[in-house]
Amino acid sequence: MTDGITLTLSETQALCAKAMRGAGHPWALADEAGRAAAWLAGHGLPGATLILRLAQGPAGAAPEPAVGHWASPGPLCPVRAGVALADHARLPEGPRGPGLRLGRVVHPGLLLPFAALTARLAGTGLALHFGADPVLIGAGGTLSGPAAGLCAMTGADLTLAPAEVPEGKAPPVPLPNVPATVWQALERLALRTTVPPSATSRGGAGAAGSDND
Amino acid sequence: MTCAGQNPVPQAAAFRRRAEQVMRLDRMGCSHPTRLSFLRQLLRRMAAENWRFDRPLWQVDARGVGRAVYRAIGPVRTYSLVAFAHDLPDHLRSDRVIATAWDATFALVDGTPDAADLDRLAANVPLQEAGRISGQELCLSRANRSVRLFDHVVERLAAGQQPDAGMLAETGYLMRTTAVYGSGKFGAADRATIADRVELRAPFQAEMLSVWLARAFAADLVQHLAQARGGARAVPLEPGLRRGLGMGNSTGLGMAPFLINHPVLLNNWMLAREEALARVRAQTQVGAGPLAGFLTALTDAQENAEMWRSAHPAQLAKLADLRSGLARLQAHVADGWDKSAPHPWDALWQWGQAHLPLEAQEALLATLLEPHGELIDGLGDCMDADEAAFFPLDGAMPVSHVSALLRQHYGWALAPDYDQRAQSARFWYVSEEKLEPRLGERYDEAGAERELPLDIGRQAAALWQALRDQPEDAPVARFLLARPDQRGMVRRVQVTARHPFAEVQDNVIAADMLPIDLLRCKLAFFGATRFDPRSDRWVRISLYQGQPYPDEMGQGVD
Repeated sequence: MTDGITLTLSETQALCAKAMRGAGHPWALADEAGRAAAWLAGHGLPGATLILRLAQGPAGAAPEPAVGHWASPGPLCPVRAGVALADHARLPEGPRGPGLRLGRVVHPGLLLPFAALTARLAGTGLALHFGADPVLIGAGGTLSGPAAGLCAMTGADLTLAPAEVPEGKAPPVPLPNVPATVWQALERLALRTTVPPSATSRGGAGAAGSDND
Repeated sequence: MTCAGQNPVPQAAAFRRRAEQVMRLDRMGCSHPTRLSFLRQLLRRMAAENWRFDRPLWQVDARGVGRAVYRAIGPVRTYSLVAFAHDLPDHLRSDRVIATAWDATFALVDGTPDAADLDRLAANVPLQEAGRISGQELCLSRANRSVRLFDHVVERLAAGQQPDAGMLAETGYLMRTTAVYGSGKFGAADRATIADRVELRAPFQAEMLSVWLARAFAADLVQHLAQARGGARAVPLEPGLRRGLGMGNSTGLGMAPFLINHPVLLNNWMLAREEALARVRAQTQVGAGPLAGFLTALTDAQENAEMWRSAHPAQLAKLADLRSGLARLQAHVADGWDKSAPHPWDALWQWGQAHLPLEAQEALLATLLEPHGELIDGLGDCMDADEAAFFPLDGAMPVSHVSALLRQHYGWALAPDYDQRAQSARFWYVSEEKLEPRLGERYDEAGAERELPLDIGRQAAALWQALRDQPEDAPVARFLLARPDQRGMVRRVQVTARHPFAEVQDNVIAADMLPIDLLRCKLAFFGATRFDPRSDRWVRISLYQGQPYPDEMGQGVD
């Protein structure tokens, strides 16, 4: 197990959610983070690694949505920004017209799953600009452009704009290998959601009698 | 999948029970398996599609150690149960999830395993959670012998005699599974990768197939050992006795949170069953065929109730209720039931509501469904759910609308005072030791700060309070910016608005909550019988008791 492990999507989701919870985030955001990690893994992207970086790093800020330009007191948390983006998909503060400037987002690759959901909910393709070439996300779930490059960045200034994105079915990609160090660190964080055994808990969980019958 | 809009019995809507009646723990804890239960769906499909079954590998020695492969060959795909039989000393035998060795371990393989697959599985499956399987496997499971019965059967068969029928009935199985893992666990295929296969679309079909083939393995193993011991004197197990043996299952709190964590799925299970009952009640006459089928089912239910054993005080009281209730029902059917009423099945149902205890009311439900396969079996197609499709929130929903939905659907949750110890006595958590859900005493044990968010009633009340200060016309998206902790509950409210049976409408952290009620409901949907609690949070059941074995599948399955 020194070189890594291939986690299933449901394992990725569960582990990352627990790790985020273990790092102190509310369960509801931790669940969102777990799903985001699984979405990325399903696209061959390093979701678990990004979650670990987010969980171990400073907590990003929550956005203050406004039409056209979201403010924030500091670099945005990609999960908090992501859920807000999807929640505002059909509201004026969402990505419409010439585009929505999100500003600085930490570990911006984690915003991709939420941008994809936003595209679906808004019924429009989206272009996620962060440099020369944008990542294109179709309302039907297609993903193209430098997504892997975005996932490699620790921070980026992001702008989202409606875009014509050709739809097509992507071939399934193999599940990404999760480095052992990442997996083990996530496991350690996840363990913080668990309760150590006590005589009461052990005694209470099983049958009252023997199983040798 | 949703089946609204293609309902062939629209008049049934008027006969549907309300969620606030159905979704109470005391009633859920009286659930009986029905013909919509998942193991029944599996058997019906395999029979209708003429699935074939074989055992291409049997390498088990005289001590009962070795490996075997059982195949289920469908019209499109084949699934194989790979079984490993072990020599387990008695002192290591435990049904708890904390066990590390078992009498037998299994993997359900997608397709037919080759020699390399078998070696790979042999290195991992016996380790269970400590091993790793692959996307070519659908399930990982293990089983322990019912030692007393297993040894008795081997001894008798080896001596050329049949086992004692009373002992067989008493235990009801040769082996019991202690965990059946699927859906992406320990490396197995993710549900999403197989959910579009028609034969696996209904819930837990791979798990049900695993258990059914493991039951065949248990019966083969006992006969193999008898043969090894008795040689020419040994006899096979008489088919009638064999048929009466199910696969046992020992289960604890691990599966309780599932129902709360899958609200859409729970809704679809309940809705299908409730729609089935409503369809039967909506019938305007009692046909000869359904009447005969109902009478047979009622007799079977009474026999089952007589055979059903438990030592748990709560279950003993329920069994007494069930037996006396079914006797009263029998008498009423014979002498009181007006079969010429405008809706005769409904008349019988209404009588049951007025005169039967909950146990017998829910048994009557199962009995009413039994002879109406043509009318209701299609509802089995509506019992799966794409939970992820309902994960996104409607952020544009005004706060006032969320509050109105809370008032409409969560009255049960807003009433209790959660500051009272009795209303918040428990907390659900995951144990560090085995990463399994457990239930703690909030005011007596450490760890409540690591509570799982299963306290839905209390969360609904907290959301209600939090929304009171919010501008009514503001979109809930704005509220969630400041209160991300309320996100899960807002989602549940929105889900419940479209799925009336999504919530268990009881406080699952209350002092008097019985976790076994949650277990019984889920297990009944699996098709489990002989529910036998060993504590208020640990239970044994039987699966497939009385059902055919693979070599009997030609003999009529309904």
